[in-house]
Amino acid sequence: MGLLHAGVHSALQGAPLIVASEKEGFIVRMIQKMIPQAKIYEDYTEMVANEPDLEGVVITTPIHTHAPIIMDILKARENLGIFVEKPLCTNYSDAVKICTAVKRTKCANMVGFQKRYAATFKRAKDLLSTGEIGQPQFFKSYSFMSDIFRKGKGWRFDKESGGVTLEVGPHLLDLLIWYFGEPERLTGFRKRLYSEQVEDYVHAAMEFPSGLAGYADISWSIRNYRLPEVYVEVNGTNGVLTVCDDYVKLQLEGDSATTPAGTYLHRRPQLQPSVPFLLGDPEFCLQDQVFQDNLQTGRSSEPDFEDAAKVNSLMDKIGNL
Amino acid sequence: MAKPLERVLIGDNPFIGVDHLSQDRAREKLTLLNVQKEISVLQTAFANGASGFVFSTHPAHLEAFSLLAKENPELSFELYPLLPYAQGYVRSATEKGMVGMISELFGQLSWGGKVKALVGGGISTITANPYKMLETFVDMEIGRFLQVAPPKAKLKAVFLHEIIVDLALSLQLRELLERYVSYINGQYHVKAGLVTRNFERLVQFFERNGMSFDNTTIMTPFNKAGFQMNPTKEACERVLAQRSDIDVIAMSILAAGMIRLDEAVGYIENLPNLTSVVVGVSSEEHAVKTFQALRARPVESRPLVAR
Repeated sequence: MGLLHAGVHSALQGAPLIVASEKEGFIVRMIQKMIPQAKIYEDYTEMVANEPDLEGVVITTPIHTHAPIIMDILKARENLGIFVEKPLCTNYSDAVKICTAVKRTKCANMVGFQKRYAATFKRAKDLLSTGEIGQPQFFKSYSFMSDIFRKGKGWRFDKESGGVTLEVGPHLLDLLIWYFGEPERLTGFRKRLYSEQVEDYVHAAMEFPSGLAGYADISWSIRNYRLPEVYVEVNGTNGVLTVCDDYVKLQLEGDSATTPAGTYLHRRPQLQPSVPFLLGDPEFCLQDQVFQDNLQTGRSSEPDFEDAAKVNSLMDKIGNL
Repeated sequence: MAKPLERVLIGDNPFIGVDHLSQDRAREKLTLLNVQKEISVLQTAFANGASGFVFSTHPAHLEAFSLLAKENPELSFELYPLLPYAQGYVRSATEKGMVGMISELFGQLSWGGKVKALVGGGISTITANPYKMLETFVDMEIGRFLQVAPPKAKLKAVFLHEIIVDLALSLQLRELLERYVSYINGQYHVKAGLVTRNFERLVQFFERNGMSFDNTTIMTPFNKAGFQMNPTKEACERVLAQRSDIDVIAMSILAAGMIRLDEAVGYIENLPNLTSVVVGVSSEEHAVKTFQALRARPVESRPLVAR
């Protein structure tokens, strides 16, 4: 992810990479060989201290390192924008500390929940906000990928820093909170399929203050999901809204305020505009553009640390199931 | 009347579960496909106007090539491998970590002294130099497919995946692109292929750095809907119209299935300087219809599979 964001930011500015921090010697050697003008710091605190022209940093390290890095940066520089890959950190307690610290600064901050910038999920948000399907009553949702079918190695599989909730769940949980707010009740279970220390599958049923109820299934061990896939289906008093990475489908039983009754299917290619530079999915470019724009003003970008802390709160509750 | 296309190629996306419109549809197609079906569709495509196969270095194709060589050893067609099969390496990196994945990948080379044969040194010789690493990786990937392909299949170009090409463009890695082109030209005596979803940016990068398009083929989206044409459809069309010296293969001509075949053909025919297309098909019937339409005039309908 570090390379992807470095690429998108460089492309948006039309400027080469000039400074980065990386600890892994092999990767440092690669960067030095390919981008000789780039200055690579092994220690990010030195980078922040020695590069006064830095306007912002993009943190794409393992999840358990996010909190200490963010706190170090906030202590060192009050005006440095911070973008961190999702999720904000591993637990809600750290998230609260980060949010408290960032409030004392002028630091533009953003978390890499880029699904909010994906054409289909954004359209779904608009349709829910305008009440097309009436009052939401029930939803089912999943975040699946086909990655783990044997014991894995590394921090993703350690009890303190990994598990499918932290690794595969954040996008879906962020979307649910973005769409419906924070749930007030939660139940469900977690299950190990291949990993020894962490869960490979989660089923979390939740209820929201509005009366909406539903569930989220999260797993990295589901076959036939070559790419990670997020899916949400919402039943309302006037129809059904279905959204995934590929499409938004609206089935209306009666006329809504703006749309006659009927079925409407909008596929991603119809909704997705071209972007200044496409690397990975278009939403990376759109999201990084917003962060760049807000660096000048010090304004936080949606979703910011406060938004992301809500995801940590929900993940903590799932972790206690 | 529009000039006939010089090259019409079949792509492999439907065979490996890639569908830019719908993952549901990709899963459905995959359940209907097997190696026998893949080689049947390939032979139908070749019998109806396709001259070559653009394929990711996905392990599934090794079996298809072996079976094709056995069943139809006289079959002649062009090979356009595309590497790396990115998703496979993403998965491996998830399981083993980035460094673990690379170590294991090149660790395979130590068996049977292949490292020395390939690079005249040990694994550290490769991993200390990203360009040498890329060259060794290309040799490993291409080698295993050339070994099993039908004897009369001919290598025509070796494509580098858009995830590498576009990353190189964004980070301005001129030497990486130059060395890749030079290596493919020198080692395999074919054009180096570059896949991009940022066509205008690629052309600007080549121009700014005084790089030549002589020994390259560029594969990039061109379709009526502007799907995956960045920064805009108009910019991509303008650059294509201005540069008759660039060998371009249009991909995504059906915009992932959003555009009808006749509309796609009409759009392609009217693009100046475009002489080649690649399109994926998942059935024999679809192959007959698609490749006959792209070849402008119907060729004589042939049996679906020549046995």
